[in-house]
Amino acid sequence: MISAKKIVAVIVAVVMVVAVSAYLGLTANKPAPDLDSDLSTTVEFYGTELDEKTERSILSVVSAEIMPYKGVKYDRVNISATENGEDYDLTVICFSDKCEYPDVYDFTYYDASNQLVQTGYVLETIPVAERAEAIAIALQNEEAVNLLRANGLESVVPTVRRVLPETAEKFYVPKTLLSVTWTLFGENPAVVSVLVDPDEGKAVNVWSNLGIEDKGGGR
Amino acid sequence: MSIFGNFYFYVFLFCEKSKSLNRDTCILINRFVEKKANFKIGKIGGEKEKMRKEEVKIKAKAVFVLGAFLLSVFSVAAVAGQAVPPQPVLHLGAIVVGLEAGVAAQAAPLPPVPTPGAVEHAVNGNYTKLQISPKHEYFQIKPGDEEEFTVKVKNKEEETVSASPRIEIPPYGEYILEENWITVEPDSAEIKAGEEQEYTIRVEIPEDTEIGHYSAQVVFTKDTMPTPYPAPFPMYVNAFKFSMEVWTPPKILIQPQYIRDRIEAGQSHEYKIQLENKGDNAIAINPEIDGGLLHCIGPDCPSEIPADWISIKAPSKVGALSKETVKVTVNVQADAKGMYDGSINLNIDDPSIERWNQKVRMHIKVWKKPTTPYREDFTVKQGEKIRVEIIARQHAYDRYGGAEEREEPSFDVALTTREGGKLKPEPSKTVKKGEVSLGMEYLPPWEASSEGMYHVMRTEYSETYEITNATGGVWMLEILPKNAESFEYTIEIGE
Repeated sequence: MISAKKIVAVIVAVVMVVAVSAYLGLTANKPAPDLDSDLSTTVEFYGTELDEKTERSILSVVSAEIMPYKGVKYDRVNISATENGEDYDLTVICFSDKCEYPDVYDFTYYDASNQLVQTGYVLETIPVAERAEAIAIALQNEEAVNLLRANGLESVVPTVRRVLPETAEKFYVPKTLLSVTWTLFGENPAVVSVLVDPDEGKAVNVWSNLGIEDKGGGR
Repeated sequence: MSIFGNFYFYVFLFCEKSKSLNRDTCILINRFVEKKANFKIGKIGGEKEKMRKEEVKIKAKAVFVLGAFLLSVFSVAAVAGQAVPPQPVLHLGAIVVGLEAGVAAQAAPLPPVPTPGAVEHAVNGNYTKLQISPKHEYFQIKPGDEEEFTVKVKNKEEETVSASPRIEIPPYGEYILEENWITVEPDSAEIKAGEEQEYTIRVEIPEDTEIGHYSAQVVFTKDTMPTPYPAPFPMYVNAFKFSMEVWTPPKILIQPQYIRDRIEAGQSHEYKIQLENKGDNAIAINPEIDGGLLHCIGPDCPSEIPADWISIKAPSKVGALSKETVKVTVNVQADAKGMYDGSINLNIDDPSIERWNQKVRMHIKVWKKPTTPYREDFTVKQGEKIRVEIIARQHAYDRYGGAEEREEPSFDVALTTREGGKLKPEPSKTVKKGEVSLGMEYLPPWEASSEGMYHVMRTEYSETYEITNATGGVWMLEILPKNAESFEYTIEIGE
């Protein structure tokens, strides 16, 4: 026979669990607060020596093109310039003290027209908590988990990279997404990648070079 | 077994296996997944659960009957004890009230709970079908600012639906939002079948609002999701939910916020944390050791950095528009080994910096420099050539995060024979090798933007030692590595 005390205790426990779960659910997704834009960022130039005017022009156009992840501020920006005829190839590496990995942008700067064209990016400046959350979300995708297990990718540290809205639009919707990718290097690299919507907390697409069809959520 | 049946366990194992994932990451993953996994297991169910279904069913019936009886008795008792008209309290609240004190329910009225009719309505899938877009919104806002959204509500029913939005504030948030901060226009609408109604939701944050996270729901109908147990707050079906962070720009800049390093056992290292006050007033600080961040279970979890390893030198405040340095010295015990985590709570008197962001997290790998070399015996015929190659590798993810640049690996090598004694050859060749990819063959399609950029995947350092015309017999190779956590060797005998 179950006593009344036991029943009450069980119900109280259930309510507490529900309340705590609901609280945690509602307070999850806390991004770090944004920093004021006027806080200092150290910029250094490397590579080809540039005159002051060119440095200023490059800095001006680069500043307009680089954008950190929400809640993150770049503390250091290294601009490496390589002369390419009359123009410059730029590699811009942006560091945040809050994050482990940098954002790297490649640009071509056309000196005559003072124009900057982005040629590539690898954006990994993501706060540690959000990086972890993206991995957790990716690990909730059954297909990805099966691929990781089947190919011994569990011991690999995944990369978590920002996917900009213009690219994200092709695979989901035009918004910033995170790409969580496990890569086992070798002669035939094994790759499993999950595209994560950090706001919705869900995996929206899965890709692998291991013969699995794209079964992503898509639009 | 369904993947979700053992999902949490799998993620735990994943973290265990992923030794390179730092503790923060692992803990955060586990914490996050635990929340989600509980839901999934509850929703989808595991085989174990199925196996126990019958047994549970019997017990549940007994509990339900008893519970219903007790709930009725105590609800009546609690309501009877109230001076004010009965509140729409949760039945469980009534139990507690009945057992503890009747006034409790009046002091802290609980939110309305779905009526049995409404639950039944939803259980049967007979709730009002409205398509609400967007369903969720998150934003950051400063005190004194306002934010406006447009929410589209489409009637998917075959008859007109009366949708009168009202504000519901979850009572368990970090901070409680005031209902009068939100206005919804129109305040009611008759939405014809298949038609769409736009609502404008405006959130105005008073100047004196506390910094923190707030959440609310704009509920369009009374339909609620059924729950197998009494919920402290109804889960509305037709609701637009939003959460916001009320923030102000921090006046203090902290650099760095993450210390990741490798220290040799018995050695110490000093780290400097720079604080820059951009405000017009001095800000008090009180840095202290905060210990480990969260609990971690498993053999590979890092240990907490012992408090007696850490000493902190810091001023008591950072003056207006000035910088100060907090010096943290970590003295690693001589017999220590493995991974250690901890944090320094700077205790900055600036409410705009969240507690989490006041901490400088530390991840220290303590290692022992080997003092005795690795030994391997091999046999050589008289006059043969011996070639020994030793390789140490560093992978892409070793590149960043350290307090200092890693030194390149090197080795102390000796080759010994009984007859010839110990030879300490110099390397005949040292090689630094890198593997750089342009990402063409392994990037997912959504990372195509990084194609053509150089991705350093790993670097390799090798030293080659050669002995020509070797004395025949048993040789012993001794390798003492420096700045290498692992190495490979190859012994080639003959031409």
